[in-house]
Amino acid sequence: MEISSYLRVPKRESIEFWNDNRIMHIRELATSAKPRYVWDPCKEGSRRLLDRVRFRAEVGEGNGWNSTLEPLEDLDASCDIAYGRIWMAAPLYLGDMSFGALSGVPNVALARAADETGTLCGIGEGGVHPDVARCRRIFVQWASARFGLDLHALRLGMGTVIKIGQGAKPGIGGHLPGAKVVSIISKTRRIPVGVDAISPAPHHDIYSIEDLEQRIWALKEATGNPVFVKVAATNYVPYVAAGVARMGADGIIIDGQGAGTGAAPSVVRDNVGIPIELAVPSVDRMLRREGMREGFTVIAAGRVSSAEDTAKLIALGADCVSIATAALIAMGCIMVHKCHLGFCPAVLTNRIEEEPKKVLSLDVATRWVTNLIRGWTGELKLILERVGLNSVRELVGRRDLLTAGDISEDSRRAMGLER
Amino acid sequence: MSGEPLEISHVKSGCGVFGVLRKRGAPPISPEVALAGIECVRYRGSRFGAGFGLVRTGPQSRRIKAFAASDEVAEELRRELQQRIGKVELIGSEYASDGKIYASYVFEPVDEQDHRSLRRSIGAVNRAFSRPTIRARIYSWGRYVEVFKGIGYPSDVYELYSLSDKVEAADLWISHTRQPTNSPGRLPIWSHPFASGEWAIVHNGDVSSFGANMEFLSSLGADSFVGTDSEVIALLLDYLTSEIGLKLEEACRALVNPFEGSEDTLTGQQLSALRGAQLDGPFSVVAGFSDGNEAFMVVLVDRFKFRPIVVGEDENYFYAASEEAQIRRVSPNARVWTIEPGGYMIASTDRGLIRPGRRARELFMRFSSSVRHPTPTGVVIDALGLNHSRINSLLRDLAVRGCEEVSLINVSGQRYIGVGVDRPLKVKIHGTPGNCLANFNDCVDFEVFGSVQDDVGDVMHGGSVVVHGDARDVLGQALQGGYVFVKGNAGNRCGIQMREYSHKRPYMVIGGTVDDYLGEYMAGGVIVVLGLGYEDSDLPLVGKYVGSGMVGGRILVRGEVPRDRIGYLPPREDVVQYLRGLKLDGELDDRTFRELISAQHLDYEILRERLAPDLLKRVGKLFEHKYFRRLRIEPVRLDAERFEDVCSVLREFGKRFSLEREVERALDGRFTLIEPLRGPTVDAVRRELPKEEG
Amino acid sequence: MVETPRFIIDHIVSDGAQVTRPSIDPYREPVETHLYLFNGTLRLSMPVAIGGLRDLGKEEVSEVIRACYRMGVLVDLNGLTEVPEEALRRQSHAIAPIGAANSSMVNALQLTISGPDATELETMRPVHENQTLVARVPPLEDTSFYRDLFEAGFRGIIIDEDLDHHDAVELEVATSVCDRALKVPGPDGLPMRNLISLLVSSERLRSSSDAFKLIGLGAEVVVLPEAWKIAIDYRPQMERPLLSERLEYFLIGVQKELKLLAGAAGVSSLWTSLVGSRELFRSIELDNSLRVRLGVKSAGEW
Repeated sequence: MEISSYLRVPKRESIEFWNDNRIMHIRELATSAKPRYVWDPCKEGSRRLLDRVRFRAEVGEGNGWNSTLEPLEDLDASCDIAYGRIWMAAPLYLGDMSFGALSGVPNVALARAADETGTLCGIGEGGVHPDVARCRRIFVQWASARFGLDLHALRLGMGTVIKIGQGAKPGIGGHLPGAKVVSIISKTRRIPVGVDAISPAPHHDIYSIEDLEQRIWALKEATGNPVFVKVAATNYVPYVAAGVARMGADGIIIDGQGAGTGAAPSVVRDNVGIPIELAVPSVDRMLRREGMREGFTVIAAGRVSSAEDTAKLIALGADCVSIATAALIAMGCIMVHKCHLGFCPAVLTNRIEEEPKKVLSLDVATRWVTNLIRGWTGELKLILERVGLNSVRELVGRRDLLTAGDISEDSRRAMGLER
Repeated sequence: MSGEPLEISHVKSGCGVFGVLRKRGAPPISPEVALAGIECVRYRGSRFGAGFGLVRTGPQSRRIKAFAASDEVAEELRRELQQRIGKVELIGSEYASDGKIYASYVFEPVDEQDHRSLRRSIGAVNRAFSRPTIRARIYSWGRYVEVFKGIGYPSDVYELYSLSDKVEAADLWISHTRQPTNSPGRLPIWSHPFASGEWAIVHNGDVSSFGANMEFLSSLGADSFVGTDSEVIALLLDYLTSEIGLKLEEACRALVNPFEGSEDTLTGQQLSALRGAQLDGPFSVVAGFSDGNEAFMVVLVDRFKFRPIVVGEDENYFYAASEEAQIRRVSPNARVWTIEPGGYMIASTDRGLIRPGRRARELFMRFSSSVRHPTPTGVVIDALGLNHSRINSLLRDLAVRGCEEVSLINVSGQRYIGVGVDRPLKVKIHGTPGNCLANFNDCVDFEVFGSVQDDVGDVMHGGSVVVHGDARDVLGQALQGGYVFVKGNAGNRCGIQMREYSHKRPYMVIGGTVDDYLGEYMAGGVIVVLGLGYEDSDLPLVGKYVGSGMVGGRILVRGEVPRDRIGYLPPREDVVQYLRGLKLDGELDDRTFRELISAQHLDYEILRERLAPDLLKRVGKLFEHKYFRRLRIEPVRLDAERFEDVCSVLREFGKRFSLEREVERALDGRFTLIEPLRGPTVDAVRRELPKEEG
Repeated sequence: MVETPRFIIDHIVSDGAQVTRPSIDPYREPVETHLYLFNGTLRLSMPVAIGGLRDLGKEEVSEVIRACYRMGVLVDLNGLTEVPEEALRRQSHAIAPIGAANSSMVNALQLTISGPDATELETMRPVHENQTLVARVPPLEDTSFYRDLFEAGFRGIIIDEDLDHHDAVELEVATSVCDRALKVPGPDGLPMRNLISLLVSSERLRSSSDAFKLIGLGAEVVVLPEAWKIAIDYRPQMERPLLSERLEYFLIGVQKELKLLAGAAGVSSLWTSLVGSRELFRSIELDNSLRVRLGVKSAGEW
């Protein structure tokens, strides 16, 4: 059976970030490919810092918001990704979900959507799915376990991502039980069938900043492609980012606290790491102070739920954002948090089988993601128009366009905002 | 950030280090040696800082050295100092400041003070000159120890101080090139060495106990920090030896803090008294110290050995360095060995090697010194002065043109050799290749006449690496095809994540011994440790945590492996405590209890043998967790049927190194086989109460 | 933060080690949780202790004492009127309140001090020479009070948030203040802090992460008087083997989570590296003045 429509979102007892409004907004974009709002109404009542920061333009508009929905024709959204200058149609990176974490069709849909929309897709640590390998706009991930990687696989992408950490579990490794290592997973990861697939917590060749440099240049030597480094937003992230830039990486992907994952120890998820909206501005400031911001790309990840989030993070100092959970929602995810159990009702993270009873329609899923990106980009254009800019690049680091609402003095200073 | 006290900000760095100490009767060491030893790893550092430190014994006069923004500030500092320690003279500055960088000024106190009050005075002066921003800072004030540091590469700092013209040879030199993650401003104060009293240290690391260490020092009265873990290490060594009165070895142990259950573990009482002085996280430290009579070189490395460090000696000198190529640069035939995780090396001008840095003294003697170099064959490339890109593009070109064999001569520390060469080729390397040799290798056969460094053969799918010397850490990570042979010893974390897939099965054979974490996370392939030359020794051929997290493949070690070196066990003290409780509860008889706690290895298997199932279930919870896998540990002979593939690989190993007879003798003896037990895992997980994922 | 914060600790996050230092995998590599109390005389397997035994039946108290002893975990007998026989046989792992029957026979003796003006400070002397005196005090922000306790001969302090005082502050603040107050040179040239053990206790503490953060603020042992009861679904008269089995699994679970958090921060020894290591933590959305009293930096600050 092929799944090609959305499931009803079940009632949830606890208050979640990805509430029904956010899910509905994403579904509207994914089905229409058109902007729905200028200013995202889903942020009302949210505790997240980013939601409590506003664009001055919105505050000034009073109640007249969301009236006009005709976006600008052209958007200059090119992100300089140095070492080859990769052009992007929108500052969106579809973030690093592996084959294994997702069940195959979603992986291919994301990669195809990136090709169709001129964005980028990070393939995560699971080797390259054969159909993903046919797509061009992919970033191949080099993680601690090096699953499925050899010279050929590394050279498939437009770039390489060294994954050091992720926002949901900084400092913690991964473990795919042997029972899930079925034939096709075994092939793409190059590990024996039925044997646990372990990703060590650190890279055992990267214990220091100069070790990282060594790995960055080994990968450049092997592929000739740009190298990005993905880290979790942790206490020392400004230092880490400065080190990453100094060691010759072309960019950094910073994954904030609360970012999604199917499996993370809750004690780590809830107590380690800082929100992306605090990490990005401090990283941006540190890089500027050290004279290393130019030609270095900063991608912000973790709970990026809308075009407005995108615009705010860019104004706080990012070049580009990574979307993952939002893309899953576009493909039908109903946030039941059963990813690690293997029976995802939306067949996104379900267990991989030789002959599955239910599969996601590849064409529909690809269209949903493509639409999402187009609708999202449309909303981003509307925001740019409202703040009086012509391009995303002009927005980078424009903290003056934002106003700190009721956030604490410490957070306001960390973000570099005025009241 | 502005407004915060200076000492709280934490300046992180990574680096390259070097040290050399004179033996009694040997000529003193000129500064050129310190430069040569550090310049050859200038790629480990950056233009952000370098420095040199020396130790001289015998009658010396004290020199107090400070960086200051201008002559006026220096004079101000002199007056401040004079108020506290009596008459002080400003001798002059060591180099002219161009206005942008601070100059280094030298002062001489007229009256000598005792160490403690002098240190207190120096701290007070430094504090006075660091608020609100640093205007001046005293960075070296020893009688026997002197530091020269600044902004730039080592050669820049060497020139800046005109070391070759102005500074006499010394008993000991240390040098450093710095790779900061963050470089606050353009002040030379964050460069290494850091000195306190008669200690000077260079350091490569990022200590996670920094906060605890700094608070320990504050509670002893230290009150001015520039905010780096390296400075904290120098202060700790000085305070522990001069303030608390620990002996050199005791101070080393207090800092290194070997794991509980090691030979050198501190007692509960010692730890209580010194809690906060222990270093955690990655570090390798080379320190110089003198009591006036002899000069000491001290090398410390963290419990996991997260940072590279090698030590060596020849007829006249002892050496310590981040990479072997550094030592070979100044002494081509030195014997070079590694320090064990959580180990420390101490050598002195008068007493020679006091601690070798390996607990089993005999073992370090067997590390390779020079390797015999055959005549180069095939196309010969002189690698002297060539960087890795040039070397690799030559190799790629030659491979494309159908060349079969290349000899690289005069190789000295170049990294990434062979990376990206995707056609079959034989590469013979003469010298010491740098890190990351043969990464991603698929079809190239490397043969190294010399030792190799870290990260050799990462993600290798085919081809081979044959090493006539030793190998260092993380050898063959995620090795998944081909073979890696090392004639001598190998370091930490060999063969971790090795795996096999489809028709490919990788082999790793180590002729000598290995350190900790052999085959960690291993999922396939075969590792053999032969221990050739150690046949008559009782010493274990492997370090601790062999096969920890192992899920597949086989490890074979000649002879017997102590069971407490296999896998990762809960602390012995905890297991004993549980058994003691059961005995008090009347559930475990006294005899079994005493047998168990007197057993050499209190592992899961011995509990399985001795305890009834219900008791095993209870104690077993200390061992089990959701990733717990039992290992099969079995004494075996390598019979031709069961180990056919291994035997032929070992014979090939013998042939490559002309060790056929030794290998045959080993094949006749016994091995310990370590492999995961197949089948369902322990059901402990479901019984656990707090929910856990991973 | 993911959940709605209720307490100060909920505004504090721990570090994740990456790039400049590696994290540690506690399932395959050692992360040490053991520690020594009272000048190295008592080794505990982990920095959490069990308390809140006042309302338990005699048999249940004994069961808890036995389980904790096996696990190498300290029991806080505060509130009991009699030191149970089980505890006397295993006394090294228990702190008993003064005045309780048999309390003269235990090694660690606890005296409740109502505040800085308490007369007990003057008169208190141990019953016998080997006895360690432990002061149980309300959470106060009073540097000299803590130093006075040391001068009065106490070699342990339990800051108990469930003790009332008109100047009481949050446990987080009191812990950090006490830890720093004692970081001054003491006898024999050693820091005063190294000669006295600091324990904290509160019924509101929920989990391993609460304990982890209080350790970072300066506590060596965190007593959980209530959390364990909730976790093991404690009911009066529950089957005793079930009680001890569940308690043991609870303790192992807490220990694993402590190791995960320490490993994530690149710390391999909780006691030597984490206690009072405020530098490893950051606050999020905490009132600025409160943050300064805690001695913690804010997120985004470097």
